[in-house]
Amino acid sequence: MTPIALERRPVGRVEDFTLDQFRIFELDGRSIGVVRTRAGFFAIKNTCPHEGAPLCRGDVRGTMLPSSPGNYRWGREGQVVRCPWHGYDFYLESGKCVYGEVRDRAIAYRIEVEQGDVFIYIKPRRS
Amino acid sequence: VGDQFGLIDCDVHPLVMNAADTFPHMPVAWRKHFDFPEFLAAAARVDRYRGMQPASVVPEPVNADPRTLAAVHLDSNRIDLALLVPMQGASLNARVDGAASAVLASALNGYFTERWLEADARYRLAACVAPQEPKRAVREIRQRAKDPRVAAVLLPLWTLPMGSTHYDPIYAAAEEAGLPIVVHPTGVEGHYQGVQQLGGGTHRSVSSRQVLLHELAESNISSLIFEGVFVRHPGLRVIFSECSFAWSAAFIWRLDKEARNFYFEMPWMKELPTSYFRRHIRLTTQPLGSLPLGESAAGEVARLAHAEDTVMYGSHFPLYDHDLPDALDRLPSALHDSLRHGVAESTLRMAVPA
Repeated sequence: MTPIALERRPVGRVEDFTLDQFRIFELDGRSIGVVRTRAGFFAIKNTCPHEGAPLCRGDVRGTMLPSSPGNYRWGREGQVVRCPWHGYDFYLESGKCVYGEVRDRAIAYRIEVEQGDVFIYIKPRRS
Repeated sequence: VGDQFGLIDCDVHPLVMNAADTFPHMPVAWRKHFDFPEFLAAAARVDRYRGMQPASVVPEPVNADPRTLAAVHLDSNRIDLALLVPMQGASLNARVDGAASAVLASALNGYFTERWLEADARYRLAACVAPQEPKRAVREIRQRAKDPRVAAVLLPLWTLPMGSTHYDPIYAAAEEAGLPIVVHPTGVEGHYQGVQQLGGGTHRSVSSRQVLLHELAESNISSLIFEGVFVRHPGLRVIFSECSFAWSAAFIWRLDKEARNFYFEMPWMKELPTSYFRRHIRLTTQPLGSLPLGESAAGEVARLAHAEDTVMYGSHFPLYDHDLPDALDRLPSALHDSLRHGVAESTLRMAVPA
């Protein structure tokens, strides 16, 4: 099976992105959110794998790290998005559900910054 | 361990008829403290153990004497091993004075060891401790654990839910000794300062309180699992008596659901609640009376509740609503080995230390 080549699409300049605010792009019929957080740039499909909510309307945040009983440790700031409908958390990098409560992953996309330009890599889809 | 025991009854209630009989098992000063008519009269209220008979007909309940109980229950029902769960110990939660509770707990343990464990080799004791005083409870557990016939620790249900770190020293001592914790409702829940409340408040009728006893199990199991007791004490097991089990399937589904929704509230949980439940929680069978008759319906309830891992026979003898072993016929025969002895053998401290 030949891997489908990813296409690189420009989505703007670094300064176009306000910290922790998703910008939504319609790319080949897909709604994709791109966000700059204190952990970097991320791109994730604007659909929650649980029940289809607009995931990118959720808050960018961190999460509780595994800890001993009675103690809390906060971490991964800027690496997690919380779905606005049911509150499930997903890692922006992998799309994986933080506690595994939703088995399917959110779809995350590779993103790169070059000389201040932001690019997303997607599989092209021709209509 | 194996098929050494065909039938183990995990819920048998022995009785001290006269509170003064425990006096030889406490220091002189404490004897003087307790030796007044009001205490002795209150401690001598044992009518509920006569069944529905007045004292003129049944002067002494069958559970006041180890040989009588052995004859009418163990012999008649072919019970190979009986865990003694002294209800006078479980009721120590109703005392405000924690030090006095600890002394009484120790005296009860001394009494039942001398009078009951010596009388018949089929008896094992759930040694009681005072929940108000963890340091004294730890000393008591360490002391009693030296006796191989002590098979569990009876922890009266006290104000704080069982997940509280207040109990950690007690759990650590029980875990270290290989003893499971036994919890048994007393019927005073919701009635005194210091005892736990039933959900929704205090009900007027005994019937309501009986029907709601399993709420104590649900409340404390939630607390134990969510507050990380089994993360802190991975070897600990907790037996809830007189709550039966048919409610537990729906309950653990809900625990799993909320653990998924609110994992950030308990990031110490390494597994879903169902796993902790199956490994650490045990339930005794009585009262089985409301279980639907017929193998398939009861079998389905048992399957969904993971009864093969968690449920063990307990008669609650000789209380009026006890279940004799034939009550187990309501459950599928495939479960009988685990119900009759398998789960008990892997839960109670059975091994005799060298």
